[in-house]
Amino acid sequence: MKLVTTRHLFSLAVPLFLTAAYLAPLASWIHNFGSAVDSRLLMIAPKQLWTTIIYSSAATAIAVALGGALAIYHRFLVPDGRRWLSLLVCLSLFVGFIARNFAWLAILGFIEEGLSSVLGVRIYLAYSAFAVVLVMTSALVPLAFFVISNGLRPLRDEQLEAAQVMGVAPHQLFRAVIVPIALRSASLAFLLILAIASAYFVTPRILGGGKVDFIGTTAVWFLNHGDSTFANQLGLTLLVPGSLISASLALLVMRWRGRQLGF
Amino acid sequence: MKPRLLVGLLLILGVALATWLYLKRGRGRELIVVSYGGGAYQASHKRAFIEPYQAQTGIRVQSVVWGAEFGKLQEMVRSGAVPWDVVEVTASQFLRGSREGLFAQMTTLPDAEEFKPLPGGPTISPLGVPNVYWSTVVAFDPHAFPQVGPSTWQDFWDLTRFPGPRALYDNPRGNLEFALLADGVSPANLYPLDVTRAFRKLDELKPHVRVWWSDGTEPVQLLLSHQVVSSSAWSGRIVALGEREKEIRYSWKGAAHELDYWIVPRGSKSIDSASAFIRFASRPEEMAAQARLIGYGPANSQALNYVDAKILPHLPTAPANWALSFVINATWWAEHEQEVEAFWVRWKGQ
Amino acid sequence: MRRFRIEPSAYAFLGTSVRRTLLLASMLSLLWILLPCAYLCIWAICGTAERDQLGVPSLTWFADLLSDQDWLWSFLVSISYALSCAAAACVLIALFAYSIHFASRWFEAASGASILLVILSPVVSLALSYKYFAGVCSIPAHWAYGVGNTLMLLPIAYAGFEAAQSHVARERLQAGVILGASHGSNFLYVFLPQAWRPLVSSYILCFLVSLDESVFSIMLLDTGRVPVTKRLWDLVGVDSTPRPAAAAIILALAVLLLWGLAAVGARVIRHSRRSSRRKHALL
Repeated sequence: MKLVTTRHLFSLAVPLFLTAAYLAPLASWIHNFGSAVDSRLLMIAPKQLWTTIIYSSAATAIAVALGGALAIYHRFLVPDGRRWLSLLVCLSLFVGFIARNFAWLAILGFIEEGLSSVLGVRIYLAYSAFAVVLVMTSALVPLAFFVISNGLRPLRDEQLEAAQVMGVAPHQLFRAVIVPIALRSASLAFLLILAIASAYFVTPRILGGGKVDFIGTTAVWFLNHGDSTFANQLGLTLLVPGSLISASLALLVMRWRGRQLGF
Repeated sequence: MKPRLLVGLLLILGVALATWLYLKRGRGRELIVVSYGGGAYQASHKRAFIEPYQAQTGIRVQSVVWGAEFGKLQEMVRSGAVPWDVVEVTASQFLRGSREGLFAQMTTLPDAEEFKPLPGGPTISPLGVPNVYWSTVVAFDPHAFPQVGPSTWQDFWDLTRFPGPRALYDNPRGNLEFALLADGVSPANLYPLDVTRAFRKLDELKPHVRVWWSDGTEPVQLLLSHQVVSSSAWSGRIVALGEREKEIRYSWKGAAHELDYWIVPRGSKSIDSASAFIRFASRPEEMAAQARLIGYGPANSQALNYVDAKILPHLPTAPANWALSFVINATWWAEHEQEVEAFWVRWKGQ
Repeated sequence: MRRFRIEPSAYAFLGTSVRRTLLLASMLSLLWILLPCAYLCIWAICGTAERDQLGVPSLTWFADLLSDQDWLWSFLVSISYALSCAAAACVLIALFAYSIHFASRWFEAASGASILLVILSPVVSLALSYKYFAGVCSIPAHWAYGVGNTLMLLPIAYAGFEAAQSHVARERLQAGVILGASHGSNFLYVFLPQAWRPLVSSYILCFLVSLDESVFSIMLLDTGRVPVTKRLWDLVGVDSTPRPAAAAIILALAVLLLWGLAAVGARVIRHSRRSSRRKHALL
């Protein structure tokens, strides 16, 4: 009898890859940099973590709200419209994230010029927290759209027709049937996108003007300035919100599965 | 289904493998020369050093950009995987790198006839050759101040006479000195820096700093597009604008000079070729060619004999400009940089 | 605009105010997403050396990039890594998706959770850990980048497959094994024909995401032959010309070209399969 069969090789491909490519680097990194904490960490990390969480949460919340609206609209479009809308949303993914940041810098410059000539007073949009949240949202809306669209698939026209036949008014139907289904995938989208947004450093670097420093931006700054140990310790602190988000997601999924199983 | 799927997969893997093999093949006779930030400065390297060197020797030189990320250099040397052959570093990085053993001893150096340091300037060492003096000056938008603009760091801090948003370099090096100059400290008494006093002075200006810029092209763009009224800026980037130079005004009063060095990182596979390149780039004619393009002061005093008379007033090392400015103390910064940088990041975030 | 109208049957489910709010919010979202894309096209064609100034339309910046060997290498490197890392991620997920039909539920749950954990780990932290680990184990930077890129694509490929597991009939797979087929044959002849659609859509999504991967390339790669994302990052604060816009458009066009070729190839395959089926039917 073979000790290792083809079935085992098939089954173990992903776990082995994850062990070698995910657990091993992460474990050795935490082991090397997690033991002696740099005293400067307490000086910098709390404020930066707070900045990171606040701005990424704001961008995520707006992205989920807009992406959700877009996903619901997509659900009820004519079939041709659905294809075109999905294509338009995908189009943004073609041109790349960093290039879009460059474009936003110029667009905000034009808007500033336009507003200052109309209002007679200079309004500053670029190089600010507003610009960072605006651009992050622009990048996150497509992700929110895809996750929530996927979550709206179980919504069937027959369910809505049945509710309508039973006398439910349209606004009640929207609130009582469509919104709860959308909210479920929206909460999943919020957590997934928050995990991605909190690790951003490109947008704060390009549009923040050096005033909106996420943990990732500061870690890269110290790395570039030759302080790789401190940069790595700053990177470690990002695992804190990451773990909280993972735990929240796990609880959410367990709660849903519990409901499905009747407890 | 199976043959087509296999053919498709094989095609994809084949393309990937071919690309990998091509990337992996030996570099042959090629040097990698690393200079700052791209844009005008990298262009000056290409035209003044790289193209003539390639034409003379037939060795292909690849110009790579970096933003003085010292950590990158450290990681490379410590890991032993050093793809770079010639790197330009700042004076404080040169001191720190020499101490940490990051640089290789060059096998050939410019001789005494070719390279004469400036009076009081550093000499050649086997670990590094001085390259250029570059300067951070106070610049302003004449559109915002058509008559008189900020010409000193005290003016830069004066928000009553010269209101409007500012921009400063996102690094304590230079900014602490400017804050102390604005607070009345004379250039001769700057060092050792009174860090607390400098941060207190910077507190006055912080709400009006619109952008903390990280590369030389940024302040120039910010001034040209009227997004800030005044900024610290690297003089060479303004000079490189050419005809558009008159759209930005700047002053040499209180300008901070820093020196760059050519080094060969330890572990480079082409130390001989790298040393030969550095020797070529340190020749007076080549350094004068670069000064013509970027307006930075060659560390080789012989080069000033080859620089056009109309370029000379723009150079940091011109006697009139040198008298108004100061040189950043690389030794002080090499010792205190890490500590001060943490205060800087915390201070900015407050 | 008629394409974007709501189905008449849905009018009964959504009140007028809800319809109008959804329309407004959707148009705002689309504008928010597409405005930078539109500006990139304009900037690449009409841009000048100064960031805020537009001039006469020309293809100068495209020609500038396409004549620069380093940029050409970057385009090739980006597309090669995207093709190969997406393929690697999809192959791994296909093997995983096959194996869970024969594995216990705890294995399925644990493996699925650990794949999703990757996307929940901050990318910056992962990239820093790779930088450290690659240095300690003397792994070449491009290898580390390829593996890291594949790792980040796993959850995306997994999500694509999970959504389409209903396409795969477990009974057929088990029947194959019962009838004596090896797992290799079962995978190639029973599983893949059923799962090729979700495989292809996962591959396309992974390819797009891999092309835009920037964190690992910024942290790990330093030599001249780097992907486009790393080269664009190096231009931040340095270059005010429309080069980033031109690079983004060139890459987008290259992807569209590849996509077009793949679609034509798929049509040819479908056409030849239909005509061979007709031939067999006649015979």
